[in-house]
Amino acid sequence: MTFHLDFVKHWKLWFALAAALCLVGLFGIFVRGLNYGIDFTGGTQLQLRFTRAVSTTAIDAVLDRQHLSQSTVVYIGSGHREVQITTPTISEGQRDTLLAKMHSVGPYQEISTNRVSSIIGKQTERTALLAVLIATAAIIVYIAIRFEMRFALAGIIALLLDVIMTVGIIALIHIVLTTYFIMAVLTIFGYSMNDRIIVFDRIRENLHKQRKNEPLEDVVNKSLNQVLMRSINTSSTVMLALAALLVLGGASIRDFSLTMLVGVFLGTFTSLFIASPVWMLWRKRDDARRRASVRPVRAD
Amino acid sequence: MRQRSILALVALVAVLVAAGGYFSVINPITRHLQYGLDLRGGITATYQAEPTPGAPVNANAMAKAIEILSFRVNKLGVSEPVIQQVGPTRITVDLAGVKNPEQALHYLGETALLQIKSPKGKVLVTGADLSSAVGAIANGQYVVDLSFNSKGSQLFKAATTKYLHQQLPIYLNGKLVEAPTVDSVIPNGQAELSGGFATLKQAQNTALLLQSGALPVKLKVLSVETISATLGHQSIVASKRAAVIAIALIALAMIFWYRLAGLFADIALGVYAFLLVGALWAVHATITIPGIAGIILSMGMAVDANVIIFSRVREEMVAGKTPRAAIEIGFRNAIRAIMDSNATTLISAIILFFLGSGDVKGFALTLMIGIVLSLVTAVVLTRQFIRLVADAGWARVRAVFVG
Repeated sequence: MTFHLDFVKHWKLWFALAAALCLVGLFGIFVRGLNYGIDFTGGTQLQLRFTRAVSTTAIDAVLDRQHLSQSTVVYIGSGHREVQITTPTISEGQRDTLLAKMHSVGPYQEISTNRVSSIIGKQTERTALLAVLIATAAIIVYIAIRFEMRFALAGIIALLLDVIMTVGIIALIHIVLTTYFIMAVLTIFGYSMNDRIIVFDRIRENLHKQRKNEPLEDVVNKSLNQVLMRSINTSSTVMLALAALLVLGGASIRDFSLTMLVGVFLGTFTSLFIASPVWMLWRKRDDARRRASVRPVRAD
Repeated sequence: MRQRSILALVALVAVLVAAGGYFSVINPITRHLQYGLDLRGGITATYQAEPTPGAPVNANAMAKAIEILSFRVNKLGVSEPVIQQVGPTRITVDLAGVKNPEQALHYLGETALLQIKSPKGKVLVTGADLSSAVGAIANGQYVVDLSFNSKGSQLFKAATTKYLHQQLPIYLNGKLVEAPTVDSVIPNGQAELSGGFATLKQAQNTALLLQSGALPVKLKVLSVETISATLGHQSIVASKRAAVIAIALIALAMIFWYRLAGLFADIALGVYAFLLVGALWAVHATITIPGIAGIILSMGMAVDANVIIFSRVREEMVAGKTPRAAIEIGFRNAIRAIMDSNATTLISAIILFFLGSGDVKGFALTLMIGIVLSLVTAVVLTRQFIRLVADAGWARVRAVFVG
């Protein structure tokens, strides 16, 4: 199977689509806001399994009496028996009292507790940002050395779009952010860059074989068509694995898988439709400039 | 040539299948792995050492604090506890299968500072000079029998000589426990701490704390995570099921796209899985839920190398090359792209490994090992397979790749 699709002809359409998605992402991040979990904000999360169905109003009442009315209570699974209570940062003593009072709602078993102080939370966020910055710099340097600067910057632009769109969508769905989220975003970082390099590698190779008077558009189109099958096959394989994790992996891994799934899909899209046209337009502009600056010299 | 290739191929597959069978059925490799608390149930806590007047937080104090925590954990009878320093001022403690986690935690971070003071409040002897402390019952009361070491005995003898027939108040963590009157000089360093113990257990706990020594720094609990054994078990079942189904889907997709070549890529993928788990075992990595997600994800990415190679080989065949020539050129052209693309993922993984902590580190490690191993299996092993298939003239490679 070989393809003859014209990827770069409609670059304005793809850029507009990416810009629209990006706006949606920015709306999600800044208007709706990210739903930070206790890994970031600090706080206590208790998971309790009651022996019979309980109502959240009864639990809320207990929380109110402990002056913890900002807490949230959600059911886990079906049957209204297992609940997850998230409270602001509380001390060990407060937690013990809360658990003791909770017996008035009904007999229960404590499944898990997760207590994070806000100091750690702040650090988690700072570390994540630092990791993203360092990774970006390192990847730019690597591609600039192995390929050329234009590839590196085109790749990073597409990568930024990926991250904004993915994080924005996660913000829109209002998934609670945990440290898993950071892992997912950084993996998307690596994965979609990986994807772009396959495309860039092919462009680089075809540039060496470029015939005289063969337009740059044709070289890029040919390269994209050649790697298309691989892009589809690999992305769908990774997405299959992620879908299995999403459906079967249990609560803690579900959000991670969903974030990755969105990121992998968008990464494949930007590799094919954004990164390469950006590089091509850039290169053409540079070429035109060079010609413009060369001509007057010849005229002399 | 042809027969030898078929023979070599069959032998290679047989050896790999036998090895796979051994490590999955007869002596399952999964049984030798060390699992994290999220899969076993238990408690993991992070303490922050905080300086107090006269007790700065330095490397010595941290080492001493870890030593004391280890002593206390051992007394709890927890199997395979993990106590380690994270960064300059933090200590994490992982305890599996503790019945009453919060109580254990409380006990671990507690200090037991024993001070015997003069009537005027001058510190004469401290718990640092104890050689042993034992909880016991004496005269129907719960007590702690104290024995001082030679230095402590000297000090105690001097104190009881100087303050004979006076009161020598005993403080525990700055709180007055009792103020016995000295009846006679005590030369042998034996003393009894009585009063204030409601149960023998309480006396024994205090004795243990005294014996382990006072923590040189104040430990503040930064984060605690407790996971019940039930939840851990559920997670194992869910992860196992997800892993099996994900791997099966990947394997089927490869066979669907690349037929016989895909099947051999799957065998290489199987070898990859065993090598990855084996490597994690070798570096004593702890398998956690994100670690398992990392393993599954890396398998999805590991087939990428084969997808790139096979797509390349297919192109060369379409261009009219013979199978053997197409395979050689396809592999050679694909390698550069594979190396460059894996390098960026490796860069992200390395940065995650050095900046992250705990779970994140484990995930990054899995990813790093996975990238390197996948290059070996997907490139070296699969190439050998495909060459043998081509040499065997078996299965009409051309049709297989061109599809």
